[in-house]
Amino acid sequence: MGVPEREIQAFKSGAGPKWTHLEHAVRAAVGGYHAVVDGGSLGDIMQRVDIVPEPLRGYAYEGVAMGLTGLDLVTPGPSRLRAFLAGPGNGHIYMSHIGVGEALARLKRRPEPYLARLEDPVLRWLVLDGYGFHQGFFARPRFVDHQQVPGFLSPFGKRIFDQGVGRSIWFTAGADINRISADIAAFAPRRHADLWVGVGVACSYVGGLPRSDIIDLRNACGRHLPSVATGVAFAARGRHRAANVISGTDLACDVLCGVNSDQASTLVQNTFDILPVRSPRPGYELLLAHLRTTFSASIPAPA
Amino acid sequence: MVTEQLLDQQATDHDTGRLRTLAGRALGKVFDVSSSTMMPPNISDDPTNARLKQVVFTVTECCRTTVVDPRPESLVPKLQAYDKELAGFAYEGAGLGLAALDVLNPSGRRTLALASGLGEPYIYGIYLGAGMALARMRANAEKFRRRLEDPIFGWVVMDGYGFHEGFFAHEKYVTRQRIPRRLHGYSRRVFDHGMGRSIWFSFSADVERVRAGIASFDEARQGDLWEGVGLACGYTGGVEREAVEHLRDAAGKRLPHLAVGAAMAASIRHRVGNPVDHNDFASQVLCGMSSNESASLVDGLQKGLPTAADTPAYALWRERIRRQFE
Repeated sequence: MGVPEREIQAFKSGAGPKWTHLEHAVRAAVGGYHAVVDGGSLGDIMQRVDIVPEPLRGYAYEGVAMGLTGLDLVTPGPSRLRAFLAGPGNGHIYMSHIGVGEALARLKRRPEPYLARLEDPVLRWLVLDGYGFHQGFFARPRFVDHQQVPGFLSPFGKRIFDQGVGRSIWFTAGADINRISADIAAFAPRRHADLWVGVGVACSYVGGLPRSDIIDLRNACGRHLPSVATGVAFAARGRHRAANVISGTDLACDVLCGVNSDQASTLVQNTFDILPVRSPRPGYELLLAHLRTTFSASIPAPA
Repeated sequence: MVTEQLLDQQATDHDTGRLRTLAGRALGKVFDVSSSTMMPPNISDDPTNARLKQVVFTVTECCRTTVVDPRPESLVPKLQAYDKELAGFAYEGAGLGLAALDVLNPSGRRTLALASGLGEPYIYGIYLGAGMALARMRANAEKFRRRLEDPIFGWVVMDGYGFHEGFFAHEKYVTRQRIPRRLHGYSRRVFDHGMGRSIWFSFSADVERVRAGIASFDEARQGDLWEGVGLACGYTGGVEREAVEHLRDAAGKRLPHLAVGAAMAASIRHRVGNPVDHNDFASQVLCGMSSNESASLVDGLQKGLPTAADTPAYALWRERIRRQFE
């Protein structure tokens, strides 16, 4: 399951500051992962990852969750992953759930049966996002160039899978808006909206683009702008919750959501707060639908 | 697509399956049994199973200890603190944890470091545990084995691998007798040693069920399965002498295979100086000699085996041993 150097590098098909920015994110995640597989108690692990610079720390937590998910398979007794999610991982809870999904993909485990083991009924769907990200990132020819989707996923599972794939495209396309648009255009149209959500998440969470590029993104996504904005706002909430907002988050919210990142984050949190306790539909689906509706009404799609 | 959906449905059905018995529950809990890891069938609660549970507990507890601090200098004293009789299982747990770390870390060589360093006397247990981790993590076991560069004990990881699959994917590998497609050549035979051990466990060391279970396999696989039973009987124990006598009779013409396992068990335990009663009477009944004698026999036959890493010297060794019992 390891992540060798060549795999870390493999996603890059160019050079320059944008690629370096992405590589830093990947390396922070791999670093968090190694903090686990080097062995140690949860306390030891946290000491190792809490020296990662604040803007990159979420990735490190993603890596920690990934490693713990792997080791949970062999370690008896209480799950260390669950202890992490309920304890130190809570600060970066979104990223941590994503890391779980990446581990399941790497370990050839089906993600959906695993969801029952996780506490948070809404956020646990992010496991599918991580799963999709992993497949898009490490097996791009199959899942991006040939647009395959695992047949064993539920319909909603496939949608969140696509969000992860969309986020992976941000990385493998080197955050190049033209390449991102072309990659997504090759997918069946019914998948575009979710792929664009993932692009929005990446734009807001990963950052690294100047305003002009984000404006290009807004133009490129066309009628999917509310989906992009949904992803942007969701990631803004993730960064606000972890208190590590970066300038890219503010910029993305400003250009793509038409609000500042504080407002976007508050909007997402307010939506969380009004989710019904019981619903036949997954809470995460309701959350996304609500945000998309909100943005459809508040930001006019470009002509 | 339809097949995938059916498989998915099946996985869900397994999820809702209940672990029927005490030992099953204990195992399920420590290994967090999921859709992919079938429950062991029908394990009842009696002295035999109390023994098996003690073994499982030791293995899993040591695995956890290992993951939290895998450095040999701090790990080995903790393993040595176990009752000597259980030390092999403690090292098996360590092998499980270290191999898991090695699978997660591509440059990791922790398993090899322990097995060729401070843990060398317990190399057999370490590699049995490592094989379990490889199965559990769906790792490339052949690659892991080759990396160990040990033409004898490297193969033991396949025994652990087979044990894991026979035990946790019992339905697939024991009931439906699927071939482990990811393994090739001699690895499949050592896989069957592990399968035989798992049969001993999952059929609660019930001689008649063990016999019937093995008899339902293809003829070509039965010898290796009996070798695994012999190892489990001699190494793990859990039954009285009388049951071992029944086992001897049940093996019929496969008795030489059964004896190989019992003799290996004697060698493993004598190597670290912890022979136990069950080890001794298994050797007496199945090999026709004391465990001391069978251990010396096994160790003597290890001399002069080829040392090229890819030659299964382990196969030749076991073959030599078997000929002693024909």
